[in-house]
Amino acid sequence: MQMPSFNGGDFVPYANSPVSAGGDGAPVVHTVHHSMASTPRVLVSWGPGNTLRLSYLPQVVRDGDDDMKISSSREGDAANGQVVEVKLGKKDDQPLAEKRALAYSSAQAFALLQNQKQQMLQSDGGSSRTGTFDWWQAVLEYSQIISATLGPASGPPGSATDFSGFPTKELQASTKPTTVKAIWDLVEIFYVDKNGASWLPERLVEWLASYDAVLSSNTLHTKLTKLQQRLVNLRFPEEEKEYWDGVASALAVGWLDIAVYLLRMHGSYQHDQIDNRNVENGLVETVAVLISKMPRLRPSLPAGAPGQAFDFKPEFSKAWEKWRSQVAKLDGSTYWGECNNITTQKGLKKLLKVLLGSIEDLLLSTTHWMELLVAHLLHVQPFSKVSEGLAGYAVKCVESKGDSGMNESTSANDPLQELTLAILSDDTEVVVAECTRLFDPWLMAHLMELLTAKSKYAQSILREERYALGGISLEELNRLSYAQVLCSHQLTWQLAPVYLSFCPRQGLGILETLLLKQPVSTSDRLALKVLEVCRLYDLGTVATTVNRIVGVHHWKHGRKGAGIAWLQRAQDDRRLAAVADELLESVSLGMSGSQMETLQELEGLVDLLGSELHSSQGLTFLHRYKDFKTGLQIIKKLRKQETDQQKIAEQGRQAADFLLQLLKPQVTPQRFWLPLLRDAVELLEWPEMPLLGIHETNLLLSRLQELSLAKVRGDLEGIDPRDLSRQSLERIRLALACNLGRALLQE
Amino acid sequence: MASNSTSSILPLLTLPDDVTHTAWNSSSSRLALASHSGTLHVWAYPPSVHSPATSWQAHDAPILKVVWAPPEFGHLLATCATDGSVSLWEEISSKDAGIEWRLVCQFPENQTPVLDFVFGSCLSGLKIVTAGGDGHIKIYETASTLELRKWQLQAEFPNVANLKEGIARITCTSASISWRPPVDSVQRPVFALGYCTSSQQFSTAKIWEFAEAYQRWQMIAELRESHEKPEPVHHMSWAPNVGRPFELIAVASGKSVSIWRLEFPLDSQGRLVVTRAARLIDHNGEVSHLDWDMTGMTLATSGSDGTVRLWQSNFSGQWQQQGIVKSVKDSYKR
Repeated sequence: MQMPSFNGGDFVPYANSPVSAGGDGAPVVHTVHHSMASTPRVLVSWGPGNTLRLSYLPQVVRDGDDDMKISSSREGDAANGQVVEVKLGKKDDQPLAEKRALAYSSAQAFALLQNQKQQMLQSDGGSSRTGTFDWWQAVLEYSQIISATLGPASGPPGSATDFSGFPTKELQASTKPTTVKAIWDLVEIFYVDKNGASWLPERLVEWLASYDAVLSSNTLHTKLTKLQQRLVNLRFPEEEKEYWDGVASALAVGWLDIAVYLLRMHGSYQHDQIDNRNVENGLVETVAVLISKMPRLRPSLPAGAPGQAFDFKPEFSKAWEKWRSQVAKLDGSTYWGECNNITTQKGLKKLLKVLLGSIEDLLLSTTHWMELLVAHLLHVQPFSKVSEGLAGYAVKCVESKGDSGMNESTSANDPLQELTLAILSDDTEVVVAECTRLFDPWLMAHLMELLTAKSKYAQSILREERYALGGISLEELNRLSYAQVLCSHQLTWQLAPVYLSFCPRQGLGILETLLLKQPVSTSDRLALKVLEVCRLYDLGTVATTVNRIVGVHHWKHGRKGAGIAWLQRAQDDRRLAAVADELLESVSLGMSGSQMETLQELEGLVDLLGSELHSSQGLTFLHRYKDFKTGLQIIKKLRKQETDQQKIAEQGRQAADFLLQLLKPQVTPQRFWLPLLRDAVELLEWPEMPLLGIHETNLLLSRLQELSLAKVRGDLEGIDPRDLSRQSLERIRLALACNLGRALLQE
Repeated sequence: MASNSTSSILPLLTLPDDVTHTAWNSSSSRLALASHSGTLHVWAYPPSVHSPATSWQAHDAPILKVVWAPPEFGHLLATCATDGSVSLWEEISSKDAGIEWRLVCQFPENQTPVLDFVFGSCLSGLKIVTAGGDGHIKIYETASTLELRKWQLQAEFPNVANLKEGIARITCTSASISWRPPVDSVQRPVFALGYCTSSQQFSTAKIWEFAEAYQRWQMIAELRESHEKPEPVHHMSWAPNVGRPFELIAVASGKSVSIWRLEFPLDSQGRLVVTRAARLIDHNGEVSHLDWDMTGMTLATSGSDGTVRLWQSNFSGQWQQQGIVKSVKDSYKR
């Protein structure tokens, strides 16, 4: 078994672009321009995802006496620093909107597949052959969905899909398939589709028809496209060497429709020619008919396409032998002598050689090694089971094409060579390394599913947990890197959790970091979105922190009600207590001034706090305090209205009860006793009768006593000693004494 | 020639000409700028009406550094100036005054300037660790969660035990502190600290942990191999850890960056097992600043040559350069 060949080492997201042919280790280079006099000092800070925020500052110069100076300001040079954001990763020209659309649709497919996987694992306990059997089909569905989102299917110039416009229609840039889609489909053929294994050569023919254009700058696709343009102006194309080369090439790689179509453009078909060129035309037509009857080992062919499909191998070989003998018979026919047109004769003979599998002619009729390989499979070894021998053929094809004159560096001319070869030869390590080197992290994150669909070996190397990577597998690493790219943008970060939630080791940790880095204090909507994600993935601690951040932000920015509500959701008792203290302080300070207003404002807030009464000492107090103050307000109002005495007395008694509750041990912080006792004076001096009994008055007295003692000891926390002036204490003491006397008398 | 890309560079802000230090908040939505004139600027990205750009005179002396507190304490900034003063500022708003930054408190003035300081939000409360120019570490703590006006000095100790040279003879030019990132959302009282000083002993980067049993800070590791001479530390950064079985700390000294691997928990002698995972030597100038990305997998380092380099570990644990951000002086004057 080959050792993993990851010596190139790159994995995430800054792997070299294919353009940097110079060396595998060459890193991506970004350049920032500045206008500072000297080399700037750079401060680095990571922004969201894989963005980097850089501050370019002028150098600091230290004078002898330890004084710092900014170098440029001393030189009197205008040198403003700057802050820039660098988006890391590969340069690509794909429009942002397109990328985003792909990100959204592929995330959906990915999530669906992962859920299917989990269901499967649950239903059969994780082991089973039936599981794997069904599994590749699930992956195939996923693969086809993703492939469809990567762009529309396309074929060679003038092929069945593109027939109508031939020869005038030029291929539009937008219909050119992408390299990503080409690689995706090729991996699907080799790593996923088990059904396709029996007709693999034909699948490669199809693949090549779709993606020949992306293999390199010099392929049959380019050759035929050029021919298309030339043919428009030619009456007798058969006079041109390019024409015959073109037909032979199309035939070699199995684009039969193009070959037949081109043949029927032969000049001998024209009405004014038919008499003189009867035999010639007969030969052309016979070859065209033979081509249209070529047996193909595949389940079906598109409607109207030339060739005959055979699904069953024995039937195919029988038909093929028969067809081959017809070709050979034509090759040896006597009619050739009667054909006057030497070019046509030579051209047609060449076509027959291609059909008979002449290695030399196949070599001449193809440009790229992949084309040669396909031609070989189609015309030389149509029966081969392929799987084992394929890699060997492929290497031979590369070698023959390499010898035939491509002297430029192969990696520049054929950037995909190593990757395609690796896919053909099931060399998973190289596939992984090359895909990471060539493409952005999207591909690897999604391709993992294809690679592990049925290959046990790929499963073992991609899912093995590696210590050097911090205990994660390659599969997880690639998901993480892609998630990080998603995190970079505010329109895509919400997709990152989909991938992170399927990263068993580090996914949740990174998800937490991602959520905690959202600027939740900038908008409640964003905060709610983050909380929704927390709920989905059961991240209670993060939710608490988010609630707390938003709560503190609102509180600090004067939105007290919202602040309390969010802090309550955070169940942050410490901060709620601090909030209660602050509220209370504002109230007792406001006593002298606009008492009513403050109270009204407070009322709402305390109501809000009230729902969580049990959770906080401070809040319990504040709630009762609110009741007490409201009671006093009502009494004042009732007295003004001169209502029924009994009603007033009831209110008085209730207010007294609130007061007594407030002064129970552990309820009210000591620093609020004094304002309470001051407020109590009104109740103590109740004109109609004593409201408070002997025992109750004694409780009030003892609180006052504790305050005085604290003043003597000098540990009055949070109380201004001036408030405890003799005068104010005397006033309270007098009221207490009076009330005590009245209570004694009454009892 | 490696591929060259400029399209991925987005200019965000042109700075006032005397900026000495910049700091992004944890969500990368606010940037604080410290300046030589003592003015502090705060700027929001993307700009928003709810957080207008603002500036005020924060110190009489040049500001050395500015840092943000964890977001659960609001928009809270700490600044330190060359005269040794340290101040805390917070953003508040009220109906009358609108949004404004107010001074929360000032720390008692030190004789020597504070070279570096960081916030740490531990269970016991918010802490500030300062590294003084006299080689002393001070740890302040507050029990309050909203007001943050009252701080007390929890501990003070020199960054070296059993000092042979006289402490007075040592000059410290810079320092760097980095907290161990929270584990399972809990911030442990552990941080790494390194000095750049004239004394070798002083310079070694060390890891300090608050030992609950003894109620004091203890050194649990030195970041150096036993045979190596200590090197002055210019900057250090503890990598976020979201599931790695080991911790990583990057330390910039001179032209090189070392990445240290730490294995918690402590061994029987109360020490950490520390090994150097990499020594990166590609910078042509002194490495002055470094930062880890959110996954703790990519390290960005900046050198006095104006170049930023990005590093990642490959599958076999070797650290390699993956990207470069060069700076080029424009030939024309703007």
